[in-house]
Amino acid sequence: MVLSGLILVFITNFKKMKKLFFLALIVLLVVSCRKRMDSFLFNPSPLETYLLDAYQGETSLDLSGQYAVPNSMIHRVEFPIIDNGETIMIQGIYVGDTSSIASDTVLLYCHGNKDHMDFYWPRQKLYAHMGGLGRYGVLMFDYPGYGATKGSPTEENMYASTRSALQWLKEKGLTSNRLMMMGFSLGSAPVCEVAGHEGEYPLAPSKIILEAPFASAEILIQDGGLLSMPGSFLVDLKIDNATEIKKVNVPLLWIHGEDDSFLTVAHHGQLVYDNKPGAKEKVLIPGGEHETTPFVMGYQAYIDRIAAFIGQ
Amino acid sequence: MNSFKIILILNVLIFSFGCAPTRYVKPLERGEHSVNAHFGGPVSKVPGMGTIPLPFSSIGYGYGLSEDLTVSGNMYATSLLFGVGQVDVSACYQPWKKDRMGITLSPALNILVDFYTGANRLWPQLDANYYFDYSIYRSRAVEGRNPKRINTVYAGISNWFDPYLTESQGRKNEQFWIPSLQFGHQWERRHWDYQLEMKILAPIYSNENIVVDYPSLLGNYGALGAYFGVHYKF
Repeated sequence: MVLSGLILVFITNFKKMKKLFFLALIVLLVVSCRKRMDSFLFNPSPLETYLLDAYQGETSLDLSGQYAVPNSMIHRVEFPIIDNGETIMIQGIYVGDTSSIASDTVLLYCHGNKDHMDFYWPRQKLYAHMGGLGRYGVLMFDYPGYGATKGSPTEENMYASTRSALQWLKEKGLTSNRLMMMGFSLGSAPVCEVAGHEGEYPLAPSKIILEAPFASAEILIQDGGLLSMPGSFLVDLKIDNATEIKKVNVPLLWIHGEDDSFLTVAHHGQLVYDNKPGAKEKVLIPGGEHETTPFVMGYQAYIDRIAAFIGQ
Repeated sequence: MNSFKIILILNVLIFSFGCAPTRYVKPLERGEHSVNAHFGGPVSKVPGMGTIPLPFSSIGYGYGLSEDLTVSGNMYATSLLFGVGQVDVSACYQPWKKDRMGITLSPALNILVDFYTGANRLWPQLDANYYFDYSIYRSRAVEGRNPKRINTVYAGISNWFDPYLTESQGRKNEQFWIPSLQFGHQWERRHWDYQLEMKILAPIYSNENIVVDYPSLLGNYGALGAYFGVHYKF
């Protein structure tokens, strides 16, 4: 009745209200084409193919030949997800022996928000040397939109590709007690998501390592601005590691550079660490910045520390 | 996403309090109406485009309640792009005037509502400006009222207040007061006024570790803002 009354008022006063109507229409059109900052969190670069050691672009770390990995241990793998009703293949790299995953301990590495696997390849090589070359299998993959993986870089697709990686490992015979997960920066989100939802993913990690994790999308927004702005003003992202970690019951190793100005210790890593119940350890590196912690700590000391945590 | 879009959204994020210049440097005449539009924002280095003020825009309406008090309301177009309604209601009060100069105080309440989630914010604001009419030309036709041309310079301080004590995850809000300094010029005509203003945004806060390169007169602190405004009075 109220609605029909409003419609009647509108029709009888259309001439008078025409300008107001068009203004409201313009506002409605602008609002309905709502811009979101979500894609800003993802910073992918496409690749035709992966070059690994032959890649000439910028990389996450500058490694010496000491951490080389023989070609026989490098395996290109892929696993499917559905993105917008279309099947796309997630591109991954497994370093180790794919035929012995059923008996090996495997580290699933979730990389940061930048570029693609070629950028993070030096990190994967480092982890392949934890406890000696080949002691642990290491799987890394590109989220949709990154490198040679097609699709859209979204929060949902990031989780879907992690799920698919876990499914692939499970089909190769891996069990949860031999799965470790490590997330760097953005990669901390899928690790907390999987570890915080035990039973909802094909496998659950028995230990997790978070390097330079971010606390939540909202804190990222509030850290960037001077005003205490609600996250929803700018993003739809639901990533909230500081809350998810409260549900994680497996041991955590937190590594963070004290000079990380992108994701600060105080506003990000410390919050995640403080909210984690149960077993946890931390390694704070003086002078370490967002990307440089392994270098500042010393590559060998860095992987030895992670290996010690895994081996406990 | 190209660089321009990234920088635009970062400006919305980082300097959302710097999206408009002074609305009314001095009050309207009693019973006078004004509609206005403002453009400009923080000056940023945009790759491929140079150093430019980013195009925030707003439209508003003002009404002279008395010779010393004007009330106004403004709507911000840039926030609408994010599905966030941003309006302000404000007043311009002139507590002191002598000959060609005066001081005005402008309290305002900035209201933001996310149309999709209902999240909202109220940010109070208090601006103070000193103005000086350095050139006044009266035509015979309008002697005594509505001078034909007045040129005015002004300077002042704009203060935003963020009264929310805690942020996400219970963190303490460390930026309760965000000041900016402004300097401007107004060309006042019988019906049309034009305004140029420069701001030093948030001069007490560091501009380091922000993805965008903000030129500032104060090195690693604050940012520079540039604005253009136009008023039509009737």
